[in-house]
Amino acid sequence: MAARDNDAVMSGLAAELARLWRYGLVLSGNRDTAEDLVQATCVRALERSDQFQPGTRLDRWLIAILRSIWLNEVRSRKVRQGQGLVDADAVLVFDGVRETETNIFAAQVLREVQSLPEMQREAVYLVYVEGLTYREAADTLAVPIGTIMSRLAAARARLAGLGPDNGPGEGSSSEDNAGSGR
Amino acid sequence: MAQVKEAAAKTMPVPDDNSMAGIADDDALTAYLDGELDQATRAALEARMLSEPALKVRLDQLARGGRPFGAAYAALLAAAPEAQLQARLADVIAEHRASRGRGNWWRWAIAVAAAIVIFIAGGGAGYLLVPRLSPPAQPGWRQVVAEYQGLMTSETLAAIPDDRSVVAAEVSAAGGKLALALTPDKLALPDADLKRAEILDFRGKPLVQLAYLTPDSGPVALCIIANGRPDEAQAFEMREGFNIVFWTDNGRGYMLIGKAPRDRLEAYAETLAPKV
Repeated sequence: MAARDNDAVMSGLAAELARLWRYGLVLSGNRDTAEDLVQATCVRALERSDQFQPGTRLDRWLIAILRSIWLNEVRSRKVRQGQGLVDADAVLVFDGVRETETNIFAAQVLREVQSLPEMQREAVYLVYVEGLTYREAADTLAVPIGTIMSRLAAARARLAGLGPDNGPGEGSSSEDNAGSGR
Repeated sequence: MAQVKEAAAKTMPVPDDNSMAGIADDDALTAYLDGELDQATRAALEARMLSEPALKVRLDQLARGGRPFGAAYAALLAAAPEAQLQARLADVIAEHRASRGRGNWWRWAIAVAAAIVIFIAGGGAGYLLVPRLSPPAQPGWRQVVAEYQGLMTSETLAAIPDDRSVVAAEVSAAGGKLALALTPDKLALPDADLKRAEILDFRGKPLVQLAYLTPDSGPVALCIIANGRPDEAQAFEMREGFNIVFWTDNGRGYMLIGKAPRDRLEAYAETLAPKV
Protein backbone atom coordinates (compact mmCIF):
# COMPACT_ATOMS: atom_id res chain seq x y z
CA MET A 1 0.00 0.00 0.00
CA ALA A 2 2.73 2.35 0.96
CA ALA A 3 4.42 1.55 -2.29
CA ARG A 4 1.33 2.54 -4.23
CA ASP A 5 0.91 5.85 -2.43
CA ASN A 6 4.52 6.38 -3.16
CA ASP A 7 3.90 5.78 -6.85
CA ALA A 8 1.03 8.24 -6.89
CA VAL A 9 3.29 10.93 -5.50
CA MET A 10 6.22 10.01 -7.68
CA SER A 11 4.22 9.92 -10.87
CA GLY A 12 2.24 13.04 -9.99
CA LEU A 13 5.17 15.32 -9.22
CA ALA A 14 6.21 16.00 -12.80
CA ALA A 15 2.93 17.70 -13.63
CA GLU A 16 3.16 20.05 -10.62
CA LEU A 17 6.66 21.42 -11.00
CA ALA A 18 5.81 24.63 -12.84
CA ARG A 19 3.10 25.57 -10.37
CA LEU A 20 5.33 24.79 -7.43
CA TRP A 21 8.04 26.92 -8.97
CA ARG A 22 5.60 29.78 -9.39
CA TYR A 23 4.62 29.52 -5.75
CA GLY A 24 8.28 29.41 -4.76
CA LEU A 25 8.87 32.51 -6.85
CA VAL A 26 5.95 34.33 -5.27
CA LEU A 27 7.20 33.46 -1.80
CA SER A 28 10.89 34.08 -2.27
CA GLY A 29 11.01 36.58 -5.10
CA ASN A 30 14.01 34.74 -6.46
CA ARG A 31 14.08 32.37 -9.41
CA ASP A 32 16.95 30.26 -8.13
CA THR A 33 15.49 29.97 -4.66
CA ALA A 34 12.23 28.94 -6.29
CA GLU A 35 14.04 26.14 -8.10
CA ASP A 36 15.72 24.99 -4.91
CA LEU A 37 12.38 25.06 -3.13
CA VAL A 38 10.84 22.86 -5.78
CA GLN A 39 13.67 20.39 -5.48
CA ALA A 40 13.47 20.30 -1.69
CA THR A 41 9.71 19.87 -1.97
CA CYS A 42 10.15 16.87 -4.27
CA VAL A 43 12.63 15.29 -1.87
CA ARG A 44 10.33 15.81 1.10
CA ALA A 45 7.25 14.62 -0.78
CA LEU A 46 8.93 11.37 -1.77
CA GLU A 47 10.19 10.76 1.73
CA ARG A 48 6.76 11.30 3.17
CA SER A 49 4.73 9.85 0.35
CA ASP A 50 3.14 7.38 2.74
CA GLN A 51 1.54 10.37 4.45
CA PHE A 52 -0.21 11.44 1.29
CA GLN A 53 -3.85 10.44 1.41
CA PRO A 54 -4.92 8.80 -1.83
CA GLY A 55 -7.96 10.52 -3.25
CA THR A 56 -6.95 13.93 -1.95
CA ARG A 57 -5.33 16.54 -4.11
CA LEU A 58 -1.63 16.15 -4.61
CA ASP A 59 -1.16 19.79 -5.59
CA ARG A 60 -2.56 21.02 -2.26
CA TRP A 61 -0.35 18.66 -0.37
CA LEU A 62 2.72 19.80 -2.29
CA ILE A 63 1.88 23.45 -1.80
CA ALA A 64 1.75 22.91 1.95
CA ILE A 65 5.11 21.14 1.89
CA LEU A 66 6.77 23.86 -0.14
CA ARG A 67 5.42 26.54 2.14
CA SER A 68 6.62 24.71 5.21
CA ILE A 69 10.12 24.38 3.78
CA TRP A 70 10.14 28.03 2.87
CA LEU A 71 8.99 29.21 6.28
CA ASN A 72 10.96 26.84 8.46
CA GLU A 73 14.19 26.43 6.59
CA VAL A 74 14.93 28.70 3.71
CA ARG A 75 13.37 31.95 4.77
CA SER A 76 14.71 31.88 8.30
CA ARG A 77 18.12 31.14 6.87
CA LYS A 78 17.91 34.07 4.50
CA VAL A 79 16.89 36.35 7.31
CA ARG A 80 19.84 35.17 9.39
CA GLN A 81 22.11 35.83 6.49
CA GLY A 82 20.81 39.36 6.29
CA GLN A 83 19.13 38.97 2.95
CA GLY A 84 16.04 40.89 3.83
CA LEU A 85 12.77 39.62 2.56
CA VAL A 86 11.65 43.09 1.66
CA ASP A 87 14.43 43.20 -0.89
CA ALA A 88 13.37 39.89 -2.29
CA ASP A 89 9.88 41.21 -2.77
CA ALA A 90 11.09 44.31 -4.49
CA VAL A 91 13.34 42.29 -6.73
CA LEU A 92 10.55 40.07 -7.93
CA VAL A 93 10.92 40.42 -11.65
CA PHE A 94 8.26 38.99 -13.80
CA ASP A 95 10.52 38.46 -16.75
CA GLY A 96 8.20 36.44 -18.84
CA VAL A 97 5.35 38.78 -18.26
CA ARG A 98 6.55 42.01 -19.70
CA GLU A 99 7.35 40.79 -23.13
CA THR A 100 4.11 41.57 -24.90
CA GLU A 101 1.76 44.49 -24.83
CA THR A 102 -1.13 42.26 -23.88
CA ASN A 103 0.78 41.25 -20.82
CA ILE A 104 1.09 44.75 -19.50
CA PHE A 105 -2.18 44.38 -17.70
CA ALA A 106 -1.10 41.06 -16.24
CA ALA A 107 2.11 42.63 -14.98
CA GLN A 108 0.08 45.39 -13.38
CA VAL A 109 -2.08 42.86 -11.56
CA LEU A 110 1.04 41.08 -10.32
CA ARG A 111 2.47 44.34 -9.05
CA GLU A 112 -0.76 45.17 -7.28
CA VAL A 113 -0.85 41.82 -5.54
CA GLN A 114 2.81 42.10 -4.71
CA SER A 115 2.15 45.44 -3.03
CA LEU A 116 -0.29 43.87 -0.59
CA PRO A 117 0.84 43.05 2.94
CA GLU A 118 2.35 39.59 2.99
CA MET A 119 -0.52 37.80 4.68
CA GLN A 120 -3.13 39.24 2.38
CA ARG A 121 -0.97 38.46 -0.59
CA GLU A 122 -0.63 34.86 0.43
CA ALA A 123 -4.38 34.44 0.90
CA VAL A 124 -5.04 36.06 -2.47
CA TYR A 125 -2.53 33.81 -4.14
CA LEU A 126 -3.83 30.59 -2.67
CA VAL A 127 -7.52 31.31 -3.13
CA TYR A 128 -7.69 33.46 -6.24
CA VAL A 129 -4.72 32.14 -8.18
CA GLU A 130 -4.36 28.54 -7.04
CA GLY A 131 -8.09 28.14 -6.58
CA LEU A 132 -8.05 26.79 -3.05
CA THR A 133 -11.31 26.94 -1.14
CA TYR A 134 -11.36 29.01 2.04
CA ARG A 135 -11.22 25.75 3.97
CA GLU A 136 -8.19 24.50 2.04
CA ALA A 137 -6.43 27.84 2.39
CA ALA A 138 -7.15 27.88 6.12
CA ASP A 139 -5.69 24.41 6.47
CA THR A 140 -2.65 25.28 4.40
CA LEU A 141 -1.92 28.43 6.38
CA ALA A 142 -2.98 26.87 9.69
CA VAL A 143 -5.34 29.74 10.54
CA PRO A 144 -9.09 29.86 11.18
CA ILE A 145 -11.28 30.15 8.14
CA GLY A 146 -12.48 33.56 9.34
CA THR A 147 -8.93 34.81 9.08
CA ILE A 148 -8.82 33.85 5.42
CA MET A 149 -12.03 35.80 4.88
CA SER A 150 -10.69 38.85 6.66
CA ARG A 151 -7.46 38.82 4.70
CA LEU A 152 -9.26 38.50 1.39
CA ALA A 153 -11.71 41.22 2.36
CA ALA A 154 -8.85 43.51 3.33
CA ALA A 155 -7.06 42.71 0.07
CA ARG A 156 -10.18 43.47 -1.94
CA ALA A 157 -10.69 46.73 -0.09
CA ARG A 158 -7.11 47.76 -0.82
CA LEU A 159 -7.23 46.78 -4.45
CA ALA A 160 -10.50 48.64 -4.82
CA GLY A 161 -8.75 51.71 -3.50
CA LEU A 162 -10.82 51.82 -0.37
CA GLY A 163 -7.88 51.91 1.98
CA PRO A 164 -6.90 49.25 4.46
CA ASP A 165 -9.51 50.19 7.02
CA ASN A 166 -12.80 51.77 6.31
CA GLY A 167 -13.12 53.31 9.70
CA PRO A 168 -14.38 56.85 10.05
CA GLY A 169 -11.73 59.52 9.97
CA GLU A 170 -8.45 57.69 9.76
CA GLY A 171 -8.21 56.63 6.19
CA SER A 172 -4.46 56.43 6.27
CA SER A 173 -2.62 53.53 4.73
CA SER A 174 -0.92 51.85 7.64
CA GLU A 175 0.82 48.74 6.33
CA ASP A 176 -0.88 46.34 8.66
CA ASN A 177 -2.94 46.34 11.76
CA ALA A 178 -0.09 46.85 14.15
CA GLY A 179 -0.58 49.70 16.58
CA SER A 180 0.80 53.07 15.69
CA GLY A 181 3.31 52.78 18.49
CA ARG A 182 3.20 56.35 19.67
CA MET B 1 -18.13 26.10 5.59
CA ALA B 2 -19.86 25.91 8.92
CA GLN B 3 -17.45 28.46 10.25
CA VAL B 4 -18.11 30.79 7.37
CA LYS B 5 -21.76 30.64 8.11
CA GLU B 6 -21.14 31.25 11.75
CA ALA B 7 -18.95 34.26 11.14
CA ALA B 8 -21.36 35.80 8.71
CA ALA B 9 -24.44 35.09 10.78
CA LYS B 10 -22.85 36.44 13.90
CA THR B 11 -22.40 39.92 12.53
CA MET B 12 -25.15 40.32 10.03
CA PRO B 13 -28.06 40.76 12.41
CA VAL B 14 -26.30 43.60 14.24
CA PRO B 15 -28.63 46.46 13.46
CA ASP B 16 -26.70 49.60 14.22
CA ASP B 17 -23.44 50.10 12.55
CA ASN B 18 -20.15 50.36 14.28
CA SER B 19 -16.73 49.78 12.83
CA MET B 20 -16.54 46.18 14.03
CA ALA B 21 -19.74 45.27 12.30
CA GLY B 22 -18.56 47.05 9.17
CA ILE B 23 -15.35 45.03 9.02
CA ALA B 24 -17.14 41.76 9.55
CA ASP B 25 -19.63 42.69 6.85
CA ASP B 26 -16.71 43.02 4.50
CA ASP B 27 -15.77 39.46 5.32
CA ALA B 28 -19.27 38.18 4.64
CA LEU B 29 -19.53 40.17 1.41
CA THR B 30 -16.19 38.85 0.26
CA ALA B 31 -17.24 35.28 0.97
CA TYR B 32 -20.43 36.06 -0.95
CA LEU B 33 -18.46 37.28 -3.95
CA ASP B 34 -16.25 34.21 -3.78
CA GLY B 35 -19.18 31.83 -3.65
CA GLU B 36 -18.13 30.59 -0.22
CA LEU B 37 -21.42 31.14 1.60
CA ASP B 38 -23.90 28.37 2.03
CA GLN B 39 -27.41 28.73 0.70
CA ALA B 40 -29.04 30.04 3.88
CA THR B 41 -26.39 32.61 4.72
CA ARG B 42 -26.32 33.76 1.15
CA ALA B 43 -30.08 34.22 1.10
CA ALA B 44 -29.96 36.13 4.37
CA LEU B 45 -27.28 38.43 3.06
CA GLU B 46 -29.19 39.06 -0.16
CA ALA B 47 -32.28 39.89 1.84
CA ARG B 48 -30.32 42.35 3.90
CA MET B 49 -28.94 44.01 0.81
CA LEU B 50 -32.46 44.74 -0.37
CA SER B 51 -33.20 46.73 2.73
CA GLU B 52 -29.73 48.17 3.25
CA PRO B 53 -28.54 50.01 0.15
CA ALA B 54 -25.20 50.74 1.83
CA LEU B 55 -24.47 47.05 2.02
CA LYS B 56 -25.08 46.67 -1.70
CA VAL B 57 -22.83 49.65 -2.40
CA ARG B 58 -20.13 48.03 -0.30
CA LEU B 59 -20.54 44.78 -2.21
CA ASP B 60 -19.97 46.61 -5.47
CA GLN B 61 -16.91 48.31 -4.03
CA LEU B 62 -15.40 45.04 -2.91
CA ALA B 63 -16.20 43.48 -6.24
CA ARG B 64 -14.02 46.16 -7.81
CA GLY B 65 -11.16 44.79 -5.72
CA GLY B 66 -11.29 41.65 -7.81
CA ARG B 67 -8.84 41.07 -10.63
CA PRO B 68 -8.29 38.39 -13.26
CA PHE B 69 -5.75 36.88 -10.90
CA GLY B 70 -5.59 33.49 -12.54
CA ALA B 71 -4.91 34.89 -15.98
CA ALA B 72 -2.32 37.33 -14.69
CA TYR B 73 -0.36 34.64 -12.88
CA ALA B 74 -0.64 32.21 -15.76
CA ALA B 75 2.13 34.14 -17.44
CA LEU B 76 4.45 33.15 -14.60
CA LEU B 77 3.81 29.49 -15.28
CA ALA B 78 5.10 29.98 -18.78
CA ALA B 79 8.26 31.50 -17.32
CA ALA B 80 9.01 28.39 -15.25
CA PRO B 81 12.29 26.68 -16.17
CA GLU B 82 10.48 23.49 -17.00
CA ALA B 83 13.49 21.58 -18.35
CA GLN B 84 15.65 22.28 -15.30
CA LEU B 85 12.83 21.41 -12.95
CA GLN B 86 12.20 18.11 -14.70
CA ALA B 87 15.91 17.33 -14.61
CA ARG B 88 16.03 18.05 -10.90
CA LEU B 89 13.01 15.86 -10.31
CA ALA B 90 14.67 13.04 -12.23
CA ASP B 91 17.72 13.35 -9.97
CA VAL B 92 15.61 13.40 -6.86
CA ILE B 93 13.69 10.30 -7.93
CA ALA B 94 16.87 8.45 -8.84
CA GLU B 95 18.37 9.23 -5.46
CA HIS B 96 15.19 8.35 -3.70
CA ARG B 97 15.12 4.97 -5.37
CA ALA B 98 18.76 4.40 -4.57
CA SER B 99 18.33 5.21 -0.92
CA ARG B 100 15.06 3.36 -0.66
CA GLY B 101 14.91 0.06 1.15
CA ARG B 102 15.64 1.13 4.69
CA GLY B 103 12.02 0.52 5.57
CA ASN B 104 10.91 -2.82 4.19
CA TRP B 105 12.67 -6.07 4.70
CA TRP B 106 12.01 -7.20 1.14
CA ARG B 107 13.52 -4.04 -0.20
CA TRP B 108 16.46 -4.88 1.95
CA ALA B 109 16.60 -8.31 0.46
CA ILE B 110 16.64 -6.82 -3.02
CA ALA B 111 19.28 -4.28 -2.08
CA VAL B 112 21.46 -6.88 -0.47
CA ALA B 113 21.02 -9.24 -3.38
CA ALA B 114 21.87 -6.48 -5.82
CA ALA B 115 24.90 -5.56 -3.78
CA ILE B 116 26.11 -9.12 -3.75
CA VAL B 117 25.66 -9.34 -7.49
CA ILE B 118 27.60 -6.14 -7.94
CA PHE B 119 30.24 -7.38 -5.52
CA ILE B 120 30.62 -10.64 -7.40
CA ALA B 121 30.49 -8.94 -10.77
CA GLY B 122 33.22 -6.61 -9.64
CA GLY B 123 35.37 -9.59 -8.79
CA GLY B 124 35.21 -8.59 -5.18
CA ALA B 125 37.37 -5.59 -5.91
CA GLY B 126 34.64 -2.97 -5.58
CA TYR B 127 33.05 -1.60 -2.51
CA LEU B 128 30.43 -3.71 -0.91
CA LEU B 129 27.40 -1.60 -1.59
CA VAL B 130 25.22 -2.79 1.23
CA PRO B 131 23.51 0.08 2.97
CA ARG B 132 23.95 0.36 6.70
CA LEU B 133 21.71 -1.93 8.65
CA SER B 134 21.02 0.48 11.48
CA PRO B 135 17.33 1.15 12.05
CA PRO B 136 16.09 4.34 10.46
CA ALA B 137 16.30 6.92 13.21
CA GLN B 138 13.05 8.77 12.39
CA PRO B 139 13.66 11.99 10.51
CA GLY B 140 16.89 12.36 12.40
CA TRP B 141 19.29 15.23 12.52
CA ARG B 142 21.52 13.88 9.79
CA GLN B 143 18.58 13.76 7.41
CA VAL B 144 17.59 17.31 8.24
CA VAL B 145 21.14 18.53 7.83
CA ALA B 146 21.40 16.71 4.51
CA GLU B 147 18.28 18.45 3.24
CA TYR B 148 19.65 21.73 4.43
CA GLN B 149 22.93 21.08 2.70
CA GLY B 150 21.01 20.36 -0.47
CA LEU B 151 20.03 24.00 -0.67
CA MET B 152 23.58 25.22 -0.45
CA THR B 153 25.71 25.91 -3.48
CA SER B 154 29.27 27.05 -3.94
CA GLU B 155 27.87 30.50 -4.63
CA THR B 156 26.23 30.53 -1.22
CA LEU B 157 29.62 30.28 0.43
CA ALA B 158 31.69 32.12 -2.14
CA ALA B 159 29.53 35.17 -1.51
CA ILE B 160 30.71 35.35 2.08
CA PRO B 161 33.70 37.65 2.31
CA ASP B 162 36.77 36.12 3.93
CA ASP B 163 37.21 37.83 7.24
CA ARG B 164 39.23 35.87 9.74
CA SER B 165 38.09 37.82 12.75
CA VAL B 166 34.44 37.34 11.87
CA VAL B 167 34.89 33.61 11.36
CA ALA B 168 36.87 33.35 14.60
CA ALA B 169 34.07 35.06 16.50
CA GLU B 170 31.44 32.82 14.93
CA VAL B 171 33.45 29.72 15.67
CA SER B 172 33.98 30.73 19.24
CA ALA B 173 30.29 31.44 19.77
CA ALA B 174 29.30 28.20 18.11
CA GLY B 175 31.74 26.25 20.28
CA GLY B 176 30.25 27.90 23.33
CA LYS B 177 26.86 26.45 22.46
CA LEU B 178 28.39 22.98 22.45
CA ALA B 179 30.68 23.49 25.44
CA LEU B 180 33.63 23.03 23.10
CA ALA B 181 36.60 25.36 22.81
CA LEU B 182 36.62 25.74 19.04
CA THR B 183 39.04 27.89 17.09
CA PRO B 184 39.62 28.29 13.36
CA ASP B 185 43.05 26.69 13.81
CA LYS B 186 41.57 23.54 15.27
CA LEU B 187 39.10 23.42 12.44
CA ALA B 188 41.59 24.06 9.65
CA LEU B 189 41.60 21.68 6.71
CA PRO B 190 44.36 21.53 4.10
CA ASP B 191 42.32 22.21 0.98
CA ALA B 192 39.07 23.67 2.24
CA ASP B 193 38.29 27.19 3.44
CA LEU B 194 36.25 27.58 6.60
CA LYS B 195 33.70 30.19 5.54
CA ARG B 196 31.17 30.35 8.29
CA ALA B 197 29.98 28.92 11.57
CA GLU B 198 26.26 28.91 12.16
CA ILE B 199 24.38 28.18 15.33
CA LEU B 200 21.24 26.22 14.58
CA ASP B 201 18.77 24.26 16.59
CA PHE B 202 17.47 20.76 16.08
CA ARG B 203 14.45 20.00 18.22
CA GLY B 204 15.77 21.99 21.12
CA LYS B 205 19.34 20.75 20.83
CA PRO B 206 22.13 23.06 19.80
CA LEU B 207 23.40 22.23 16.34
CA VAL B 208 26.39 23.93 14.80
CA GLN B 209 27.26 23.97 11.16
CA LEU B 210 30.79 24.81 10.09
CA ALA B 211 30.72 25.45 6.38
CA TYR B 212 33.77 24.89 4.22
CA LEU B 213 34.21 25.64 0.56
CA THR B 214 36.39 23.29 -1.44
CA PRO B 215 37.71 24.31 -4.84
CA ASP B 216 36.71 21.10 -6.59
CA SER B 217 33.79 19.59 -4.66
CA GLY B 218 31.78 22.58 -3.56
CA PRO B 219 30.46 22.99 -0.03
CA VAL B 220 31.48 20.62 2.74
CA ALA B 221 30.17 21.01 6.25
CA LEU B 222 31.12 19.74 9.65
CA CYS B 223 28.02 19.62 11.81
CA ILE B 224 28.03 19.00 15.52
CA ILE B 225 25.01 18.43 17.70
CA ALA B 226 24.99 18.16 21.48
CA ASN B 227 22.60 15.23 21.71
CA GLY B 228 23.89 13.27 24.67
CA ARG B 229 24.00 10.03 22.69
CA PRO B 230 26.40 7.20 23.54
CA ASP B 231 29.66 7.00 21.66
CA GLU B 232 29.47 5.54 18.20
CA ALA B 233 32.35 4.64 15.92
CA GLN B 234 32.86 6.43 12.64
CA ALA B 235 30.62 5.24 9.83
CA PHE B 236 29.65 6.25 6.34
CA GLU B 237 26.34 6.73 4.58
CA MET B 238 24.77 8.57 1.68
CA ARG B 239 21.76 10.81 1.97
CA GLU B 240 20.20 13.20 -0.47
CA GLY B 241 23.09 12.56 -2.81
CA PHE B 242 25.69 13.56 -0.23
CA ASN B 243 28.49 11.51 1.22
CA ILE B 244 28.39 11.58 4.99
CA VAL B 245 30.95 10.45 7.54
CA PHE B 246 29.58 10.48 11.05
CA TRP B 247 30.39 9.48 14.57
CA THR B 248 29.40 10.20 18.16
CA ASP B 249 31.84 11.15 20.83
CA ASN B 250 31.38 12.39 24.36
CA GLY B 251 27.69 13.20 24.00
CA ARG B 252 28.07 14.97 20.67
CA GLY B 253 27.11 13.77 17.25
CA TYR B 254 29.40 14.74 14.39
CA MET B 255 28.92 14.58 10.67
CA LEU B 256 30.99 15.62 7.71
CA ILE B 257 28.81 16.08 4.68
CA GLY B 258 29.49 17.05 1.10
CA LYS B 259 29.74 15.96 -2.50
CA ALA B 260 33.44 15.36 -1.93
CA PRO B 261 34.47 11.71 -2.32
CA ARG B 262 34.18 9.42 0.62
CA ASP B 263 37.92 9.00 1.15
CA ARG B 264 38.40 12.74 1.26
CA LEU B 265 35.71 13.15 3.88
CA GLU B 266 37.28 10.34 5.88
CA ALA B 267 40.62 12.11 5.69
CA TYR B 268 38.93 15.30 6.93
CA ALA B 269 37.39 13.34 9.77
CA GLU B 270 40.77 11.98 10.71
CA THR B 271 42.17 15.49 10.83
CA LEU B 272 39.30 17.03 12.74
CA ALA B 273 38.11 14.32 15.13
CA PRO B 274 41.02 14.55 17.56
CA LYS B 275 40.73 18.34 17.74
CA VAL B 276 37.02 18.81 18.18
